Amino acid sequence: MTPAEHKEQPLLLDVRNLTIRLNSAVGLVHAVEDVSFVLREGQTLGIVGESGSGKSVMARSLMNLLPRRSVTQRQGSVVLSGRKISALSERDLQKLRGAQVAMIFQDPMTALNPVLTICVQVSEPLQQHLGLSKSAARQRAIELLDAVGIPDAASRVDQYPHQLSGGMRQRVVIAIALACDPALLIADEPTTALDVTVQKQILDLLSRLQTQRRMGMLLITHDLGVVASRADIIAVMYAGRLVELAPAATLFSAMRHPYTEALFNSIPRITDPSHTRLQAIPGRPPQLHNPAPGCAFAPRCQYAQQRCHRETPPVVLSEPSVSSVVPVGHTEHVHACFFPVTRPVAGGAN
Amino acid sequence: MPAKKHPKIESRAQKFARALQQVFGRGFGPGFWLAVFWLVIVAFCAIFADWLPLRDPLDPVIANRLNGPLSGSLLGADGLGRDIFSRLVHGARVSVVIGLTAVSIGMIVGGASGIIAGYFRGHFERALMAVLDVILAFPWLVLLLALVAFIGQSLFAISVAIGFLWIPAYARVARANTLSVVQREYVLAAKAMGASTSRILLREVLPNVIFPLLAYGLVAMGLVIIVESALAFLGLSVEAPQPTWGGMISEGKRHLATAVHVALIPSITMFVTVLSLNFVGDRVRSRFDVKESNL
Repeated sequence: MTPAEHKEQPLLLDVRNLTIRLNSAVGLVHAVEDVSFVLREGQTLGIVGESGSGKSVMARSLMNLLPRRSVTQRQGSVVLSGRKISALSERDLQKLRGAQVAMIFQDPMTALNPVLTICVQVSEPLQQHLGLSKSAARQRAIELLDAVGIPDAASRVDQYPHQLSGGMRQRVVIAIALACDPALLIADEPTTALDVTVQKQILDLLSRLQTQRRMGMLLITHDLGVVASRADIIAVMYAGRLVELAPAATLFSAMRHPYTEALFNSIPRITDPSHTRLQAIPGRPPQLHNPAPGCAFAPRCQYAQQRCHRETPPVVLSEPSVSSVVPVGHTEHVHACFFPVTRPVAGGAN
Repeated sequence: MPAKKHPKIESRAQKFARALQQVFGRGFGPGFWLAVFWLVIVAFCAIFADWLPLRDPLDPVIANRLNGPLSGSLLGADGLGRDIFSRLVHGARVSVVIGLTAVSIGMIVGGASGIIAGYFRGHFERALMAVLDVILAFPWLVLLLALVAFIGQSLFAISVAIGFLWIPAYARVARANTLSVVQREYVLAAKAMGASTSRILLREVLPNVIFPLLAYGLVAMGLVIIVESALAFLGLSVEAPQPTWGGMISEGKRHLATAVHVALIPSITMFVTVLSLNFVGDRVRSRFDVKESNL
């Protein structure tokens, strides 16, 4: 799809000024701060960030999956296909989860229940959301397993998770997620726990299924390389904030935020001469409790100036046309930095 | 990946045999099977005691008084001339019934409250744990005596009283296991697929908690039998003349100097039974522990 076609697709997910603060032993954790983005039907939004940058908390909060006890503050709105998530009752949420929105988790070793057969686990949502009978659900489960590329699905269906390899288990997890044809698939680091060879298979499978079923997908990862060729829009998160968001092609050709640049430069390139030093980002990601004022990336940023340590940079349009005010429901290139980088980065996306 | 040839249709019996083999198949050793064999005998005696060709356990034959083993009858006779073998077989019934009922009560009440506390946390958990700590802080024998005095000495009443004592232990085991299961990603995954709370408890949590509970049940049953015999020794278990192992030991203590077999035989029987229960329970538990860590 071209960007122009994308704009005509109806809005699937509209997240506005989402802020999540969690209770923890060390204090109030500012897990997600003022995050806004939209996702249209059939689009893929890649969310990139280091561990602890609030990606998973954000993803889980979209469906109110965070433990109620630990969420102390929740602001902003999440609108899915025109329905405001925070206004729904727990019962309505249960109907929505699985049927409208499904999630894939990081570790297929723990995402499947070890004491239930594959058949039971795949057919559970089918029976619940679609009201299929047990035998019909079983038949559908076999078809689903077949669709995600599990060989000999008819006999695999009665096996237990420990009888499958990691890649196979992740395929089962995907089959469960796709069981009720959700409109939105949230993939939370779907390949992090897998071997590199299997990673590509799983990602290709996800892209293929997404195109077939016209799902919207949130692809969360810490690997810029994973989203580079698969996402339509890429959002970069740092310390719970969205620091840059742009259509994939724009992001790689004209990145504005120093963090995005640093992330990009830290990818080793196959064309580099041997013994080239990896360009790591110095320092450590900040603790999310009791955040200091100013830009969270400032202590590690090579372009940081005094102002960066005092004020938090707002999200602004990278190519201001009329004004720099960010329009609602946009998919334009935005960043949150006072002193954005402008020089073109050597090399292209790999 | 080469397609594996699996038989497409497997009969229920084959499936069951395969499951049995998966759980109990290898590596238990002869000791385990010996223990199982003994427990099967005890269970058989308990169930069919009334139909076995035995002498009446309540019939005193004064002529046989304190006869030693193998003199006329298999294991001799007690102080009133009653057949010890027959009394042992009938006594197994009391031990097995009390063992099963008490453990079931502990498992169901304690297990359910432990799972609920571990899943919902919050005030219920704190209140439950406080109550359990209070129960555990009581000397168990005193508590048991009080309960028996209060609800009577029938078989059922004794089972309930001993079962009550087991609630805290089960609640703790269930809660601890639930706490670890709830953190697993498959519970979150089920929730993300729209599963309701009851579904999560029954489908995701219970099957993962029930095995450690059941395995613990075998060990607990051994302890229940000992507790029952302690009660019987104090004369507070099921009322005489109903034979119980503990009661037999208690009656035999008067003849320790002259006819040691009267107390020794039920003691050995009980010892072997409890040892077998512990042995089997321990092996089953370790088997499930291994499974846990592998997954």
